[in-house]
Amino acid sequence: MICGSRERSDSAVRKTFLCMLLAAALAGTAPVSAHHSYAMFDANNLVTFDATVKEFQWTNPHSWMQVMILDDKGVAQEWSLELGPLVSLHRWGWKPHSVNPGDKVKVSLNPLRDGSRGGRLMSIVLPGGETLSGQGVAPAPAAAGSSSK
Amino acid sequence: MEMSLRSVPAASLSLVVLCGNMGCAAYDPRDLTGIWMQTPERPFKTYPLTPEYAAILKQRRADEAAGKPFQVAQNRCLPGGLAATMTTGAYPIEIFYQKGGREIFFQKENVGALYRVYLNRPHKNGDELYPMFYGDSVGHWEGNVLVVDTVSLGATSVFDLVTPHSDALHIVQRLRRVSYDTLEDEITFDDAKALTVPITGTAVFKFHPEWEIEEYECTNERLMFDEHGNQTISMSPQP
Repeated sequence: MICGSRERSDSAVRKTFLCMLLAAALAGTAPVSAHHSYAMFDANNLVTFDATVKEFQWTNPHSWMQVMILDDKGVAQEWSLELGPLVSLHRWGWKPHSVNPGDKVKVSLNPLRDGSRGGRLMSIVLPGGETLSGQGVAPAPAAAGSSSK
Repeated sequence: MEMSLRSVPAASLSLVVLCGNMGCAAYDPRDLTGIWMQTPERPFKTYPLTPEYAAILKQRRADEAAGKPFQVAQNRCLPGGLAATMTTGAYPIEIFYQKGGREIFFQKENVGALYRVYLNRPHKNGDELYPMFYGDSVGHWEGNVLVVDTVSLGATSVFDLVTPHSDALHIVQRLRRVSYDTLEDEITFDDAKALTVPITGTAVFKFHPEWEIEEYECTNERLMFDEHGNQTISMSPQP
């Protein structure tokens, strides 16, 4: 839960704001990061995968994570996962090297509706067990009916 | 932090001192400079659209549900426009005074949003105006309220990410620092083409003097669209 996780040196006030923002977002009253529509992602389908980080792109208007995920045949396939913008990730507890190539992580995402290997990263469990949100909302457990690998 | 007004010294300086359990904070109600973050509550939840613009919104929502969302300027890393800048978004705004306070700058952290308010002139003549994202903004003080009047907003067309406005949109903001850490922006949208009546709402901003505005340049936009308008993403960074 991001409200209870990382501290930054100037984070006390930011965290207070963040928790207000999370509450509002969860209540459906505020777009947390509204750069574009998320229509291409299936918001009703939260899937969780074990993954290996290939690259973390600390960028705007969105940060991205390239990860390798094993398919049904056990072959590693590259996925592109969209996060919030770096300016927001910073306030949500991320740093430019929160994840690094080779890290073994667990990613929860809303997949692309068209079946391409990509999605909107909702949360990630880091190698040390810490959970971070990719979108400024509290990481949610896999919903009933969602798949997990 | 609960605060109360303890004293109002030196009226000529317009200085107010608020005290609470964390000490006292002096501020000038006319000093709006610094970094402000909008609270999550939005000033407008619905818009009284004319039938023509209500039909546009209905179509946009249908397209969204079909995976073909309306593409606002922000999607191309262009500015969001004044209406959306002051009413939506999870990014702070920094306010600067220039030229002895005769010009006031508002800079939002995302996509280079910067607009200037001129306190030393009226609106430009109509033949000098053209469609802009942030329009022609002029301002003046009414007591401790900064009144900002903006016209010529035809370069963008949304109140938020989807609700349409027209090139006739006229925005009046009344900004008032109601306490050391709170700035209220009473915003009126008047749009004879898109709205049946003018609407007024209040955006609330909190002061964050400890924050810094970070760099926000679109170096990795991966949003893509196929020939049918379906939205997807690129699987690799775009040049």
